Amino acid sequence: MKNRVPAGLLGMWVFLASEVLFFSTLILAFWVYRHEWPVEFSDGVRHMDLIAGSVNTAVLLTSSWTMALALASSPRWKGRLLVLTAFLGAVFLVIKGSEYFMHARDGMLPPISWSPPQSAPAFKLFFILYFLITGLHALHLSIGIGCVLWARLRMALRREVSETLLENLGLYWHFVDIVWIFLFPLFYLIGGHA
Amino acid sequence: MTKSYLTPLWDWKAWLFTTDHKRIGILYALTITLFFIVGAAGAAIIRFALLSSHASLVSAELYNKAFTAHGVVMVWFFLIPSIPATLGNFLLPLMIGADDLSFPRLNLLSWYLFIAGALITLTALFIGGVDTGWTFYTPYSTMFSNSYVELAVTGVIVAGFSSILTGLNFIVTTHMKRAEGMTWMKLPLFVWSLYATSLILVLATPVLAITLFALIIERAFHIGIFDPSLGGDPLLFQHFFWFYSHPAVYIMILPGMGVVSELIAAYARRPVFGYKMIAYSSMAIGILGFFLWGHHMFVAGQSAYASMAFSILSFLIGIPSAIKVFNWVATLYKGEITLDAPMLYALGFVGLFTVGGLTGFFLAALAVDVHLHDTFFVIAHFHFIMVGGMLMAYLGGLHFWWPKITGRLYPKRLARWAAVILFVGFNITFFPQFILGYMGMPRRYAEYPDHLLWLNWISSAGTLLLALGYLLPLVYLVRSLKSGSPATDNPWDARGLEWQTTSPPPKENFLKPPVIPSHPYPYDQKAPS
Amino acid sequence: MNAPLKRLTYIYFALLGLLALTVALSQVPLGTFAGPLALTIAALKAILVARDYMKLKTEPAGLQVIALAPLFWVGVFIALVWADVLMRGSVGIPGK
Repeated sequence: MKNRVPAGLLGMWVFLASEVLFFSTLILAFWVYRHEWPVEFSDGVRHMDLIAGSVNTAVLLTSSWTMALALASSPRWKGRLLVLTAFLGAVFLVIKGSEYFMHARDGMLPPISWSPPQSAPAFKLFFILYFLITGLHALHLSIGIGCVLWARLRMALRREVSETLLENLGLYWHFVDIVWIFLFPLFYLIGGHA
Repeated sequence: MTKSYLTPLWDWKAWLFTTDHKRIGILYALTITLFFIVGAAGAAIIRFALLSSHASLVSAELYNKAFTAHGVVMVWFFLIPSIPATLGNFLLPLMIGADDLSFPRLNLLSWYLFIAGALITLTALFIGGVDTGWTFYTPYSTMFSNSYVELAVTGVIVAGFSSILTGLNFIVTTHMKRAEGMTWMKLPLFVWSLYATSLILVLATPVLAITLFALIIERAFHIGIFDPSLGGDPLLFQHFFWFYSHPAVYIMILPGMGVVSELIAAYARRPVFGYKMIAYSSMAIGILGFFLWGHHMFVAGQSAYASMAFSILSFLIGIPSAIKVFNWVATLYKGEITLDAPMLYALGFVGLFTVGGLTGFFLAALAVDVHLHDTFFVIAHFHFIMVGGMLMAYLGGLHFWWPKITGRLYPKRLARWAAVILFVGFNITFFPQFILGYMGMPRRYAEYPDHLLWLNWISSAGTLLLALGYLLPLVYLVRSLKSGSPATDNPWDARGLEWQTTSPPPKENFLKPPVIPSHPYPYDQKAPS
Repeated sequence: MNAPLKRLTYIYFALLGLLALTVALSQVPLGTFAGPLALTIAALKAILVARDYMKLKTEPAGLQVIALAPLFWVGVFIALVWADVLMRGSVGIPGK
C-alpha cells in the first residue's frame, strides 16, 4: 500500500474513520430514543417536510455526481464542475434553512421557538436531535463548500492544486453525502407516513 | 560537524513554529510536566483532606473540586498525551528510519490544540473549579452542579481533536514512511504499541467529543437528551462516555507496554521473547478494549445481560495482557541483566501492572463489583496501572532515551535510588487503598468511618516518598542538561535505528540511511558502526 | 462522454432510482419492515457512493480495510448499547 496510495489520501480515510464514529454516536442516541418513544418520534417524522427532504437528498446525490465527474474531467471542465458542486451544496443549505425557518414559524424549533402541536417531552427530544444532527451535518457541508471553492480559486489563480488534494475533497464531499443518505430515512421516512 | 536538531536552542520562533517532530515532542514534554504538577497538586489536596475522617481539614466542596481537577488534568492533560506525544513523537520516525512524521504541520497543530484545550480547562479549574468528578456524570453535571462544567468540558473537547490528529499522523506515518527493508515484522514493539494506541485515538475520541458537546447543550438548553423527566436516559451518557473512556485507559497503558518491551530487551540484551505474540497482543488489546466499557456501569442500572457480556469480555482482555507479562519475564531468562534505572522502572512496571491488572478481574466479576464499585479498591486498581505502570514506563523511557534526546548522560546511581524510592513510595501510598476499598471506604467522599483513619494516614504519608521519587529525576535530569557528560551515539549499546544516529540527532534524523537489521532486537549481532 | 464518465452517470441514475424507491416505499404500510427496508436501501446507496465515487473498488486491500474498519466498531457500539437498552428489566430484578 505504501507505494500505491499517496499519504494524503490515507490520511483522509483515517480522518473519515473518526468522522464515522462522530456521527454514529448521535445517530445511535436518536435510534435508542426512537425505540423508547415510538409514538412521539413517529409524530415528529410526520411534522417533517417530505418534499423538502427528498429534494434535498436528490440535490446532494447530484452534487456527488458532479464532484465525481469533476475529478474525472479535463482541466477545462474540472473548474466548472467544482463550482457546480459547491452550488448544489449551497442549494441544499438554502432548502435546509428554509425548513428550519418553517419549523420555527410553526413553533417546532426548540429551544428558540417551541409551541408544539403536542406536549410530550419526547416530541421535543425528536426535534432537538433533528436540529443537532442536521446542524452538525450542515456545518460539515459548509466546510466542504468552502474548501471546494477555495480549491477552485487556487486553480483559477494558476496556483498548484495537487491531484491528491482534489481526491481528498471528493472523499470528504462523498462522505458528507453518505451521512445524509442515512439521515434522510431516519428523520423523514421511517415510522411517519404509512 | 552537523548541527543537532536542538540548534538554534534559544530562538523562540524555532520552537513555536517548528514542524520538527523532535522539537514538538519536547514541547509536549515540557507542557505535560507542568500539567502533571497541577494534577499532583490536586492529589496533594486529596491526601491532605483524607488525613481527617470528618472533612475538618478541607471542606467537602473543595474536596469534590480537588478530585475532579486531579482526574481531569491527570487523564486528559497528562496520561493520554504522555508517552505517545513525547516519546512517540520523538522516536517513531527515528525507529522506522524516516525523517519526520507524514504530516509535520498537523503535528504542530496538534500541540497548539492541546495547549488551547488545556488553557480552557485550567481556566475553569482555577476560577472556581468543577465538582462533578472527571466522569461528568449526568444528571448532576447537567442539572445540579453550580460549577464551571461547560468551560472545563470545552477544553477537553479541544484537546480531543489534538489526540485525533496525533493518532492519524502516527497511523499514516507507520504505513507510509518506513525505510526500505523495515517491514512490519521488524518494527520495534514500541511502534506496534503506538499503532494500536493510534487506532483508539482516532476511533474513540470522536465519541467523547460529541458526548461532551451534547452535555454542554443539555446543560445550556435543557434539551432532555440525558434528562429522564424530558424523555432522556442518563445511562446513555454513561454508555457514550465510557465507550471512549474505557479504551482511553488503553491509550494510556499500551505505549507504556511498548516502552517496557524496549527496555527489557535492551537491559537483558536479548530479543524480546515471542515478538509476534507481543505485537499481536498490542493490536488485540487495542481492538478488544473497545468491547468492555459497560464494566463501569454494572450497578448503574444496565441490563443484566449487557453486564454479563461486558463481564466476560473484561476477563478476556486479561489474555493479551498476560501474554505480554509472560513474554517479558521469558525475555529476562538467561539474559545479561543490568539493573540500571530504566530496567528498574521496567521491572517495577511488570510487577505493579500485574497487580493492577489482576485486581481488574476482581472488579470484572459482577457479584464482587457490587461491593467494590466506587470504593477505594477501584482507585487503587487504576493507580497501580496508571502510576505503578504507565508513569514508571514513562520515566524508564525518559531515562533510556535521555542521551538520545538531549545528548547528555544522567547520574546512574542517583537514578537507581530514585527508581527504588519511587517504587517504595508508590506501594506505601496505594497498597493500603486496596484494603480501604475492601473495607468499604467509598471514593469521592470527604468523610469516612474513623476506624479507617490509620490506613489513610499511611497512604498519605506514602505520598511524601512518592513525591521525592518524582522530584529527584526532575532535578537531576534538568541538571544533566548543563552538567551531564556528553553522550555518544549509542551509550547503552542498544539496538534500534534511533541508536544509529548521533545523540542528539540532526534535524533530518539520519545523515546516512540506517542499516535495517535482519530481525528485530538483533542483540545477537554487533551494533552497526 | 467517455466510458468512465458514463459509468459515473449510470451510478447517479441508480442512486436517484433508489431514492425514488425508498420514498415510494415509505408511503406503503410495511409495519416493522419499514425501518430495516429504508436503512437497507440507504446502505445500498452508500455502497454505490463509496465503491464508485470514492473509488474504494480500485484501491489496494489495505486501504479498503482501513476505510471499512470503522463500521466494525460502530457495529460493536450499536450491539452492546442495544444489549442494555433492549434487555432492561428482563431478569425480573429491580434495576437490572
